[in-house]
Amino acid sequence: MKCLNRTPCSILMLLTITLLGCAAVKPITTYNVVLYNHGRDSGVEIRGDLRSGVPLDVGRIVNDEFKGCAFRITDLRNNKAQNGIWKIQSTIFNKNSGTLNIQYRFSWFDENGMEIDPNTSVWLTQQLYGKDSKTVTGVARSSRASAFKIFLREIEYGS
Amino acid sequence: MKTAFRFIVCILMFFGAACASAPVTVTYEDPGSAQPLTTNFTFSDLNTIASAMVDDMLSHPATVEMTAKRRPLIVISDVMNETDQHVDTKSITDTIRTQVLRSGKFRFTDIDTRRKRAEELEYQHESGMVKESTAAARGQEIGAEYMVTGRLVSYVVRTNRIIRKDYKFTMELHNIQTGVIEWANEKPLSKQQKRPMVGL
Repeated sequence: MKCLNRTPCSILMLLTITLLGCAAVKPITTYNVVLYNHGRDSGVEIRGDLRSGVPLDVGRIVNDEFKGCAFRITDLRNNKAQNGIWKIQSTIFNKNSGTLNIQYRFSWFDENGMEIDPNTSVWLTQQLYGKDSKTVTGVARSSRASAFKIFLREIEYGS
Repeated sequence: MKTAFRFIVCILMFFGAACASAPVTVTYEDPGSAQPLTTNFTFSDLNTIASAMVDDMLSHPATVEMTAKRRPLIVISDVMNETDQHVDTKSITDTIRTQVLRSGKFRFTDIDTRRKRAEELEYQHESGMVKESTAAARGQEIGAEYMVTGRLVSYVVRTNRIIRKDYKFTMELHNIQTGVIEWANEKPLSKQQKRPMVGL
């Protein structure tokens, strides 16, 4: 009888743990990169600060398991060309064995935090086969860029 | 019996009127979204292609070298549409030109407005309506150093259930004086429509 009374409690606890697992986790912060994992539906947001001009500090980010996401970031690099234009490259790994469609978007900001040409920030697509990894790149639309954001999310077509 | 018939007719008329007056829903959507609704070439495909071309044009070593210390002048020629549908290729190059121009790395001159510019110069000098000291000087246009050309092609595969359309956009940057192609890039794009096993 006691056991029967405990069952709803156990279900409730299990449900709570599951819901907590699905909720967005705390951001991972390094000195020039912040990662927000908003969960499966909203995706992942990476913010990077390029003002120091040094390589992005991404050790903790690329080692994160990206809880709740079907993908994870395995590499993130920055490079400033001779003409003053920043380029960001991110490698995305499909954790599952099935094909995964993702959408990503780059946004660029000047040193005052004002977004540069927001109309040029459009959603782009990438398809990853099971356990496959691909790189996505974003190029700043101006040499005034000193910060960036990358948004990544899973997408199911036809849903 | 007659009453029942009238009742049914009234009910049918009521539902008919309700269906006819159902409001049509109109919404604003994100112009930067990438939701494929058709295998035809769409605005989001234009965004994808423009983004790939601009990214590469601003960051490729060949173009980085030519824009490191100066802003070369470019003219855009026609982009050929070799697909099976009407695609406004001018709109693709307009988007690319606007984004590259706003980067501050290249300058552009426009073929389409040449005649209009010549007419305006003629008006300023010949009409007698414009103060001579303020008229724009003739023969001062700067010659373009580079010319952009492009081509959009498509390949279509149809089976009973699947329509697959592959697009490829190619863009080249020619040095007008030497004829050398200094930079080129291509962006493939594939779209697929699948019919369900059951249904129309």
